[in-house]
Amino acid sequence: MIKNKTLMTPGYRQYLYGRYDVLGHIEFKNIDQDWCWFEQWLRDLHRPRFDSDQRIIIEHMDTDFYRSDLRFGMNLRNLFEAFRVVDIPLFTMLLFTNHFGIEREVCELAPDPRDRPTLIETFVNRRHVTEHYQEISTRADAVIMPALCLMGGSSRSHRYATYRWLEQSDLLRHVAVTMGDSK
Amino acid sequence: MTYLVPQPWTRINDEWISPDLDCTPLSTTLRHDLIQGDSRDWHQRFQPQFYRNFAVDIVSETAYNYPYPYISEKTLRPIACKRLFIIIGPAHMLRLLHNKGFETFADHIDESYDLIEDPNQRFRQLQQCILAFVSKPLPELRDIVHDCSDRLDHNFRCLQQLEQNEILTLANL
Repeated sequence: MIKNKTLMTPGYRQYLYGRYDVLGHIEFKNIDQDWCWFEQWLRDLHRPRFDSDQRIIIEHMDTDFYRSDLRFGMNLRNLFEAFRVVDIPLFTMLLFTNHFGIEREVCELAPDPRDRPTLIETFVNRRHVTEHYQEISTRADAVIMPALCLMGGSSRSHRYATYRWLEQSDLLRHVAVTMGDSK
Repeated sequence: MTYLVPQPWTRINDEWISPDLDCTPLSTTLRHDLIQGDSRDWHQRFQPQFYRNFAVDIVSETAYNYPYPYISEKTLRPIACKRLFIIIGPAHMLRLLHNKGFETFADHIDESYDLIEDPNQRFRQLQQCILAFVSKPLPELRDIVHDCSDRLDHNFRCLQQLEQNEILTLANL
């Protein structure tokens, strides 16, 4: 079941849908906990032959899992595995990713250069690149405290380490923080 | 065929614990009085008014111990709000921003942390960088923000034009 909407901006969507014959388009969070569901989703896109301009867009904008004994992310490896299981050539995959440099992993997982995904590396997506930005003044005179550090949202060890260090170094009088509060 | 299953499922590569640091979780939520607003409001989420009260945003990115720079809305928010930033995130975040046309603040902030791939060493360098900057007196910080105003304006415009420029580059490949 598709729970997460795609994050691609309208501009990117218009460009890619104009350039390629897009057979399917999905965001990674919909698939990375249920690979059997994803296999079925891919089977519905299967055909006896794929044209060179046909693409299945995979939005890869979330973190992967890395283990020291693997040269690639676990979820990326699973993605390639699913394409192989369903017998869809890898060149049909268009990986829309915010992982700059992931070509290294892709080459590892798809050794045949004639059958590799198209990579588009960008951190532009609907979450933060927005037409709603308004021109504002720099207003240096409004500065009344040196720094802020927003650590709301998910628990992360580096956020706890930052907070504890600020606290123990008596820097919370210089740095305004939020912690565990995403509002 | 088999699929690899990460255990436990946390959706983040968050195994970094430095032996030298206290990473004890907090049991309560905290929110400084100067930080107001509701992130569910579209405009406040990306350009909160409270940013004007601060010289620098110490960005706590989604990922820290990660093999790639990982830029989320957390890094782009100080750019949208025209403020300086220091990023607690993976290595080479600033290099990626430079490649995209953004300018940073090496004349006022020690940005050498960005080159350090070891997460423990990078954190130590970040500590020094943050301490040195936030210890400056307020008049000096206001002067720094003022001195950087052209860069802050440039970065804002760069962010506004980023999608258009990327698509143009793709179309010309």
